[in-house]
Amino acid sequence: MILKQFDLPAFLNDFPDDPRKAKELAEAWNKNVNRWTEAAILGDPWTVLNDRDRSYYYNPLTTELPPGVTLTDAPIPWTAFPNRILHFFPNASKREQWKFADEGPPNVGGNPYTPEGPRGWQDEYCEWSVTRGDDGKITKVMFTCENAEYWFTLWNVSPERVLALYQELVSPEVKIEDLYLTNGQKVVIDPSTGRPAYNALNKWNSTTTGGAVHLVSPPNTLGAEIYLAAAATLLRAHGNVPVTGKDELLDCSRYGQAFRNSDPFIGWNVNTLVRKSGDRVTLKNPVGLYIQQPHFGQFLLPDNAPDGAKPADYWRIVRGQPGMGLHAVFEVPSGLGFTVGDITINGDPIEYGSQITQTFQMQLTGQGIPSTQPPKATECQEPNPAHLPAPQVLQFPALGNANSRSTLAPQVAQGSAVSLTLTGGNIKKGATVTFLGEGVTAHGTDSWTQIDKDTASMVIRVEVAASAPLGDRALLLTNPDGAHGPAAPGMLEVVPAGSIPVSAAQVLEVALPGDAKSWSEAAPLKPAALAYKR
Amino acid sequence: MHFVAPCTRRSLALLLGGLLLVGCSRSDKSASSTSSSTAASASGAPSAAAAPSSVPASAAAVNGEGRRRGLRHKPANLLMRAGQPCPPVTNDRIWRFIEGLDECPRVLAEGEIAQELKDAWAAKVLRAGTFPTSVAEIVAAMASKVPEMASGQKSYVVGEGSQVQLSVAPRDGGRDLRYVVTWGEGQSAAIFLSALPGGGSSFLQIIAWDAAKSSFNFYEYSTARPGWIWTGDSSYALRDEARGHGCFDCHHNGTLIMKELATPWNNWHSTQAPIDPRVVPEAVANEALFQNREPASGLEGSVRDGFEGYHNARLKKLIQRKNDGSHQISGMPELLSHVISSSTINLASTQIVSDPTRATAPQAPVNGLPSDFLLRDSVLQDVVSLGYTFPELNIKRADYDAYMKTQEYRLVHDDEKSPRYEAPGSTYFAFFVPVPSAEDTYIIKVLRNDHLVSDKFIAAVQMVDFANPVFSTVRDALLKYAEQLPSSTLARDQNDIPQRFAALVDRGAQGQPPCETSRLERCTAEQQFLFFWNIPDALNPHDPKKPEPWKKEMSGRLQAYLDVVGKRLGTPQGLDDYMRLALSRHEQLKQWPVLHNLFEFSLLFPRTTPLIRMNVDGTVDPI
Repeated sequence: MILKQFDLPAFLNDFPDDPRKAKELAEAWNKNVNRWTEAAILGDPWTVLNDRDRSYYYNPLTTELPPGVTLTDAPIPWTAFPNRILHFFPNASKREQWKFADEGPPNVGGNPYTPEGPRGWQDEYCEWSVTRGDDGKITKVMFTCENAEYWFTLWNVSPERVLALYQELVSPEVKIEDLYLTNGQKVVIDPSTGRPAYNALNKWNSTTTGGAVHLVSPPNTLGAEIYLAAAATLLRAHGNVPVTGKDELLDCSRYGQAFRNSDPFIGWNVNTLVRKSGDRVTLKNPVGLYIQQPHFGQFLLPDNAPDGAKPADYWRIVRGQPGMGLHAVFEVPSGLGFTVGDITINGDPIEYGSQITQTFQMQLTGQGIPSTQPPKATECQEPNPAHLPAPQVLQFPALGNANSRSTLAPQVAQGSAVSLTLTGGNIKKGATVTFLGEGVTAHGTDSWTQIDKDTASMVIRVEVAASAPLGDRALLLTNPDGAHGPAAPGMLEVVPAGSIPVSAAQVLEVALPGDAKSWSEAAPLKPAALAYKR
Repeated sequence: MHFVAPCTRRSLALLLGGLLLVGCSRSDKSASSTSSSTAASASGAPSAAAAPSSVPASAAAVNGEGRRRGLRHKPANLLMRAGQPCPPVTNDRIWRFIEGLDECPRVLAEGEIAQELKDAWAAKVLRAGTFPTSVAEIVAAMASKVPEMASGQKSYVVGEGSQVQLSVAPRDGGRDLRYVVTWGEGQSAAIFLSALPGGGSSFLQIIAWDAAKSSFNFYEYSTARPGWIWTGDSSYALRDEARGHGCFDCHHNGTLIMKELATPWNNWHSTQAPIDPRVVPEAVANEALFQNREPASGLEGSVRDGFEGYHNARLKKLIQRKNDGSHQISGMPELLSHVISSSTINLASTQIVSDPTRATAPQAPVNGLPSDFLLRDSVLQDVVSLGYTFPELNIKRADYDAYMKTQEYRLVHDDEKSPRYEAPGSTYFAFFVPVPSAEDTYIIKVLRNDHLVSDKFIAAVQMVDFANPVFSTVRDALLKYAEQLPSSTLARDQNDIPQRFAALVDRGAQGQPPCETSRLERCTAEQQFLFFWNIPDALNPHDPKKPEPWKKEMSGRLQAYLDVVGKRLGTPQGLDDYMRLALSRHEQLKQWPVLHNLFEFSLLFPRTTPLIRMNVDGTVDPI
């Protein structure tokens, strides 16, 4: 039996009244997860040694299960509170630790705390936003573990639906323009859709007070999670001595950041599954990281709470389902005479949202196919002396220039030509790009940016023949000296001619209309404006 | 770390050895009397500088003995009533045997069962005529009889040797493993089982929440006494006859205990220290309960749920509303004892792996000594909000590693049932020490939130011998004043207890020789308490941000203390002192009245310089 498709996280249905869009979203999502899975199985054959061909991570879309085999579920839970804050500030007071988790930690050793960026420190695949009343007391905390990739995909299907969800989850005041990706004062058009691109770090999703719709901390991506799980299937050894400790494995395989609750433990669990029984492993469908129910026994309501009221009454899974929570809210309805700030946890009034994160776990589930033979252990990952050029990100220039967080593969229609920016490691000026399969050709341009010692980006011109078969293309990157590694899978998708507005691929940015100073102030864009050709 | 049945290992070890035991009972009257006398003598000893520790540091430095104390369990076949052996129990009904109250097990009458045992374990399993005799049978019984909880089954694994590597001891080499299995609806567990893994557990203990009486019921089954016995409920832990007996010699407050309650869980399978299946016996590694083990963070939640729920209900019962709108609170001595002393302890550590070859950053300093090791930070800062900050508490990695070597730190598995072995180095996480319990801290918070005690009162108590937040005979000397306050009145959110307590202390201090407040640590407990209590507490109405004078005084003293500690930690002498202090605290736990029952396994704490013997040629050798 083969899995028919990767389902949407928590079996979401964001188009209950529109089967066509629901199908479109489901198909796009399935392709995304498949790409991340294939990339994760390939590993990194370019920049390091001993980290490729992770065949004990299996793609359930392509792996036939032996008849009668029983899949073994392995739930892997961890605490949602960021443990690295406890590690780096062990002697801070509890209140300080909570505050750091809510609002951001101070520098460590004179350097900014990492991961940087909005909610960067909330790095256990759970982020949250706190709402306070005029008296400063908390009235509501919203938690999310939804991956950004889902929202990029949903946006590509229906920006209107994204807007409606934002209005429902965060505020009715959210406007569609608030969600547009901008570059300076200009809206960036996504050539894959011909519409304004989505800004994951929009003002309703980039703070710890103004709303938390989906994850934005750099390490909190679903693609990274799948990559980590696959990396952890490689057994490690120093000579004949197996490497099995959590921290030793992390050092050896380099699949995550030390001192987090999540990644080192997830990796260790996956590695142990493979090592102990030779299981081939995948992340259980629907792939996702899910919020679990808090331990409400530690919550105490104030004396003026209604008779019979329980703390759990004020916890709602807004998206997802029990055991697979994606978006949860802890909020006391108005009019009850008390609010979240009047509730205590472990005897402490709730002053920070992070206090709640200490009472619940996040969870994903690994799944194993029983096998009889564990793989042979390999030495630890180490730099590849061959310095093979590594394709990393392929993106429309307009999106890259505006720092889009999208990691979705660019879509190019049959019979069209577009410019794309390829970012890679060990890439040398004059490198050539080849798309495997028929009908897609790439040509170099003069545009070249050296990002750092090992990383550079180049703009290429991609032409897709009208007869090019639909579907994904792998990208082979070759340096001028002929050095190359394997092609990177799923870097570009060929879509049917006509599925993208004709002019869309040419449109890069749309100027701010009228006298508006920001897109929030501007009137909604009309379709005609999007036909603007630069 | 231990959880529901702290005495399980002792019991099991001996049961497996063929001895008959009474669950985890111990006759601890001698220990209790020691407790009283220790406190009494300290109260009259102004030279408190020498008093805080009952274990001289020099003894701790050479300790290491860690030998199990003489077990005082009363073998079941020696249980006597009127000079006759107790009749055997049978596994077809529910028995009662509450140590301290009952001479022999007796069958519980139906009426008693209906009255006393309304938890799901008794109501749906035992009363249905199901009497499991193994972990597997319990799991099956829960699945069939309590299906609404069976889906919430979770298993946890703990073992003091769980991080000992195969190069030190084989997988069957004895790692003191235990399971805790929980069942409940939602996240919170209501039934807890403690047992050995491997299918042959001859001692099973269940603690089950009885919502009808807001208490935990304790049950035991052993192959030595093959019948399900109710050994009491939470309320018996505080009754004079049963206190310190049976399972209440470890579950001092009648609730759940998990010594390593918070991250990073030195000995539990956890996100920070997962237990590798390769280091446990193969039979265990293949058990579903082991394979499905969850990280300890989940159990932390259930244990906190458990003891907090119990104490909330307990306090509610102690508060009676009077006709004039005020409230009468009974049981004040017990409640105040949580503010003054340690009813139980927790164990805490840094998050730094002690063995540099297993650490993620082997050059990084050993930082983050537990704050509560140095002072009662979880109360003084987190509850009372005193204003001080910790300096960086860093030990250079090279210094730490060298100290481990020169002092010959090692974990010693010293169990007569499996081969002795030694693992060089310390506990998995560095600086693993006893600290004040989260349970006592929780009760302090609840008392404060309910206006039964004030911030200033809490702080003044904690400032007595503040540098020794656990095992302080000096601070314990204040217990006798609490015992003189059986009840209190709460009116308009004002409680009379702090003032009455202070008045008693003031009277107790009369006649004590005066002492220098600049060397407050040399003063008696009474003098220390009164020094802080008598500082004015009025806020400056014109500057509400200005700290109250008492807070300023306390914070200043604590800051000065912490600054000195931070500086000294960076010196060889300071490092030696604080490492020895940690060892001393280990020894104190092993010997402290009642609390010593929480030291169960030799691997719990490291040993240092080995015991040596004199040779006839005048040289010495390790024993």
